[in-house]
Order: sequence, then structure tokens, then C-alpha cells
Amino acid sequence: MDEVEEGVVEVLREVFAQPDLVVLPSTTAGDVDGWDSLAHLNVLFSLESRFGVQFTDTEMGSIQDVGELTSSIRTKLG
Amino acid sequence: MSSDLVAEARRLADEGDMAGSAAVLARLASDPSTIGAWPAADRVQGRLRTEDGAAPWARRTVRLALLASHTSGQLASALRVAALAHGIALDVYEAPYHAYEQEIADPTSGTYTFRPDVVLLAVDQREARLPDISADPDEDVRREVARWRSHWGLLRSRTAALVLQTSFVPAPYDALGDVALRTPGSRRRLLRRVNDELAVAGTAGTYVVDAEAVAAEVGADAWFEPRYWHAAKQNVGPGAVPFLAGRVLDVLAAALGLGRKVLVLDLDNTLWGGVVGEDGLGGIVLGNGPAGEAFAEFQTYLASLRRRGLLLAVCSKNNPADARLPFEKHPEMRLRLDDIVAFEASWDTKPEGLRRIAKQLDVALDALVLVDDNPAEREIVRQLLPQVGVVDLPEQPSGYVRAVASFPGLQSVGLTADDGRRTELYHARREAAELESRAATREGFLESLDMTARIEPLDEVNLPRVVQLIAKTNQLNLTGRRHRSAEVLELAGRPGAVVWGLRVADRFDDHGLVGVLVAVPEGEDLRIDTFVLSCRVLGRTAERALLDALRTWAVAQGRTRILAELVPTDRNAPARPILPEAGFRPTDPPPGGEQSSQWWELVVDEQGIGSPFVAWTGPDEMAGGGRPDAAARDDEEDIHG
Repeated sequence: MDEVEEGVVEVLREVFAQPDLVVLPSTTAGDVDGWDSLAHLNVLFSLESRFGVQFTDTEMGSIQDVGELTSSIRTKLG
Repeated sequence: MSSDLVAEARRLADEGDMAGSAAVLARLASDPSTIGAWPAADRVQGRLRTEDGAAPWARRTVRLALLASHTSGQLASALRVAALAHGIALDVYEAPYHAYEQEIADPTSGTYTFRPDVVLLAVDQREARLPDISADPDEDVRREVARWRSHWGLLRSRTAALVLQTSFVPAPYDALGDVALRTPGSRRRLLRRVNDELAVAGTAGTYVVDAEAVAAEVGADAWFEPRYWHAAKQNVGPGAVPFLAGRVLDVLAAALGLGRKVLVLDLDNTLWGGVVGEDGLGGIVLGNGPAGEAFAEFQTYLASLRRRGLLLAVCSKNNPADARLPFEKHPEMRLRLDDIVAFEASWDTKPEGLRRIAKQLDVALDALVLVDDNPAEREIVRQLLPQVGVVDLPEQPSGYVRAVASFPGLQSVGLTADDGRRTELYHARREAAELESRAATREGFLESLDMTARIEPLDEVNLPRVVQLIAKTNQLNLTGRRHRSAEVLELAGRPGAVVWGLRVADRFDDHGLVGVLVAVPEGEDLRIDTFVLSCRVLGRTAERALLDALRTWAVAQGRTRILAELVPTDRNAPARPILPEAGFRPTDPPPGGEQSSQWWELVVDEQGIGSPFVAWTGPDEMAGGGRPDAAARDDEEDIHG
């Protein structure tokens, strides 16, 4: 895992308060207990704060899985 | 740091230490910049309940109905976390999306079946029914204010809840720009006028929370986060929500009487730079240079908090003479010894000093907030006295004002005339205590005070103080009932009922309004519903003046008996002698009366009360008391007995 992947996993574990949460690139909201629309907002906001990036307007509504989140952040970080 | 705190709170929760876990979360909740950890903190706090939902660690469990105009989940979560900073366990009901008006209108809605203690209206400015430019600004403002007041009125009439509403925050970008400022009909001006009018309209149990101040604090970009609005109808940006929740809880805690009362100040490197015991009077940094100016401004801010009614105390590891020297001799000191109600300078530990201060001021430890630059002292106080609030001062004195200003629990819901004089009153009480230690007998002392009391019916001037006393008095409180403004007004309106305030003065000082009595007729009886007395007049027999007046009034009204109730609480042991000492006798609970209370009666024709040391005057030109030689009670027993 690179730094971005590690950071995403840490944020998800913190938001869901599950230190042992197993996260794969293919993990989607449906796979994680408690990942509802409120949690989704918290995930997006926490990732933006952590990496200093902003998701685009479209991404705010479209990102569905961890792999997409990670690659979007990686692209923004350049 | 914040995720470490959550981990610690989780570990304590796993071990079953709910109080310890709540204390750790309270520290996190005191600082909204820990926002990233709040969702996790909310999950942990959800586990701090017993099987039947109770929170034994909490100072109060409060049921809050959240009526938001838009997406409310994050606010609900942040409110639960922010509540922990005040020791409140918050149960939140979220009304359905955008349904606040239906919820208020429908008497069977979830809001009413939830039986809330508090209703929070968190309504976005988009909901204000105001045009971009009004042709008739006065009428548009009047109509919008009336709309909210009628919502409040309905909520207040159907529930016993406090009502809080967040103020409207005008959109930062509008077509008028600065022209809006001088255009009477601009939406921005209309919103500000509505805010102003709602704020002053809220008297009886309704409070406006200054959301505009929160928006200014976090900045417009964080408050108006358009991406989250478009994606999720999140009308307040996610980074601003914890700050808003913190502000709401501060207002709520003050309204519930859970605010802190005393700021306990360290000296060296807190009120001035350097160590006075080593650097000497001339060596401390105060008033000159940027750091000296920062310390001086911090002192000025503390002095303004004192004038607002917070008490200031000092707790310093110092030689007493060194500690006092700057107060007495340094020309740049903004705080004077007069501003300080308790001065603890010794080489004892901080927890010992804090305990002594609480004892001297007769307040609970949870009334104290420690302001100390030394992280090690802060930590030991957190460990040993978790009830005491601890401000995390930043390294630089220029940040001290902000750190104290944003600390939870230091808000006030309203100013009463007595707030500004509280420090004087404590000083007078201390002088009186010194006199007492010199007087040969307690009776001699009481007599020497020349105490007088004025008993006055409820009016609009004393209402805020009456409600404040009912909310804040824990010890000298017979029933522990916490009536709010509307309930007090309702009781006062009942035929034959009395709601009285008690003012006490002695030759040293006017103690202000220090007692409240609520009594309601029940058949031939007069039943005491509420009886509270400020600790300022503890041991002064002022309660006798109030009860003596009540008996006189009962006789005049043709009542046969005064019935009183003592509801024992954790804190009201000092109230227990009041009734027997005044001559009340134990009796059985009346029909429908609470069986677990202790019931007391006074048959007014047979038993007197008397107020030997306090001469009182009351409504309807009643007067009595103040005849120590006559021993009024025995006299009257002779006459009637």
C-alpha cells in the first residue's frame, strides 16, 4: 500500500470507529456496516481534510467504492 | 491527538468505565477543531448507556428534538458529542427532512410524542420568507418574526421544552453586494432585522443561538460549502457544524443552569509572563511589549467576565506574599485583589487548592474551570478532579482570550442586575464570616447583622433572577423542581398561588434576590411547590423570614395548613433542617402526593414560625420578624396553644 491507500484506510477506520476494518479497493459503501449517506459525507469531508484536496461536484455524488476514492485523491495530489 | 483520545475513550468503554470514557470524550468535545474524530466519538458515546438507556455518569440527561430545515444527521451527531463537554447525555430526535412546520403544527407528530426537554430549530436562511428586495421592509420583517413567534408559542404551549433557534446567516454572495447595506429592503438587512427581533422576542424559555457569529468564526467558505449543499442538502458546511453544535450546547447548558461559575486562575505565565517569586516585581512581563500587552489584554478580558457574573479565583504555587505583590504594587495589573473571591497561594497541589476554593465558595467542583499554562498541572487536575473544567491554554499569551472565550460552559443566558455584583457579595459574605468567628455566640452574631428582608411578588423585573435561582440552586432547595419562565408565570397566575422573591440585606451589604418561594392552594391547604435559597445567605435564618411571611399570608387568606415537601437529592442535605427548625411537623403524604417525599405540615392557627433575626416586609403591607428578645414563635404558641 502507498501513502494514499494507507491514509484512506485510516480515515475509514476512524470514521466508522472500527480499528480493524478491512478495506480493499473494491470495498463499497454496501460492504461496510454503517456506511450510510451521513457516513458518506463524513468520509468525503475527512478525506478532503486529511489530504488537502477537494472532490469535484460530480465526484461528490458519484464515487461508490474505495478504489475510486483512492485514485481520485492520487490524481489530485499529482 | 484527537484520534488517541477516541482510542482511549473506546478502551475505557470496553472496560466498562463509562464515567472515565465520558470524561475523555468531554475533553475532545471541548475543542471543535478535533472535528475529524467526532463521528467516531459519537459512536463511542452511544455505548455509554446502561441497558435501560440511562447515563449514570451524566450531570443531566436531556431529550432534544432537532427540527432542521435540511440534512440534519451530522448536526445531530455533533450535538451529542458537544453535549459531553457539559456532562450532558443527549438523546436526539431528528424530525424528517424539511418537515419542521408539519412537526410543529401536528399535535401527534414525532416531536411531541418524543416529549422533548429542548426543541432546536436549525433553519437555514433559504427558508426565511423574505424577498431579495422588499417593497415593504417593515411589513415583511414583521410577518417573518410573527411566523417564528407563533411556532415558538405552539411548541411552548404543547411541551415543557425550551426552544432554541439558530439565527439566520445571510448568504455571502448576493447581487447587491455592499449596496445591500444601504438598501432598506435588501434581503441581508431584512435577515439581520429578523435575527435582532427574534433575539429580543425570546424571553420565556426561548433563546436565539448566534449562528452568524459561528459563520464569522469559521469563515464564509467553511460555512457555505456549496458542494455539500448540492450533493447532500447539507446547508451548513461539514467543517462548521461542530462549531455550531458547540454554540448551541453552550446556550442550552446555561439555560439549564449547568454553566460553570468560577474561573480559577494560575498566576505565573498565565496572568503575567515570568515567575514573580524569582524574577521579582520588576522582572515580570506585563503591559509592555507584545507579550506584556497580551497578558494585560487577557486580564482585561477576565475582568469583563467578572463583571458579567463569573467569579474569579486564584490558585497558585507561590509564597502568598509573592503572589499578592503584583496585585498590590504592579501598575499594569488590570485585575485587582477585589476581583478575586478566593486566593489560594501555597505549595500544596493544585487539586488540593481547587478543593479548598470550592469549599470556601460553597460550590461543587463541577462549577470550577482551571486556567493554567502548565500542561502537567492541567493533566493532574484532569486525572484527580475530572469534574473540574480545564482550559488548554495555547503556548502564546495572545491566544489566551480565545481559548477561554471558546471554552464550553462560560456562556450566560441573560444578565441580571445581580450578576455584575456577585463578586462584591462574596466579599461581603467573607467579611461577615470573619465577624462571625469573632462574635461570642451565634445569636449575638445574627443579631449584630441587623438583617432585613423584603418579600416581593413575581414581576417582570425579578423574573429572570427568579428563574435563574430555581435553575441553579442545588443545596438549599426543598424539591429540586426546575421551573422555567413559562412555568413560573403559569404558577403565579393561579388563583390563590404565590410566587415570591426574597431580598435580604444586612449592615454590610445588600445580598440581592436570594430566595424564591412558590406555593399553590390545594383545598384548605397551601402547598409549597418550590423553595430555594441561595447559599449566600446560608445560616442567616433568612428562610424563616420567608416562611413567617407565608404563614402570615396563609392566615390572612383563611388557609388552615401549610403543607411542605422535601424531595431528597444528592445535593440538598443542607435544606433538610429548614422545615423542622421552622416548626413544621412530619405528616402523611396528601392524596396524590409523591410517596417518596418527606411531607411536613404547619397548622397555621396552632403553630407560629417567627423570624427573630430578620425583620421582613411583604406584599399587602405585611411585616414581621426581627424581634430576637420576643422569641416570636414561643409567644404565638402561648397565645394560640
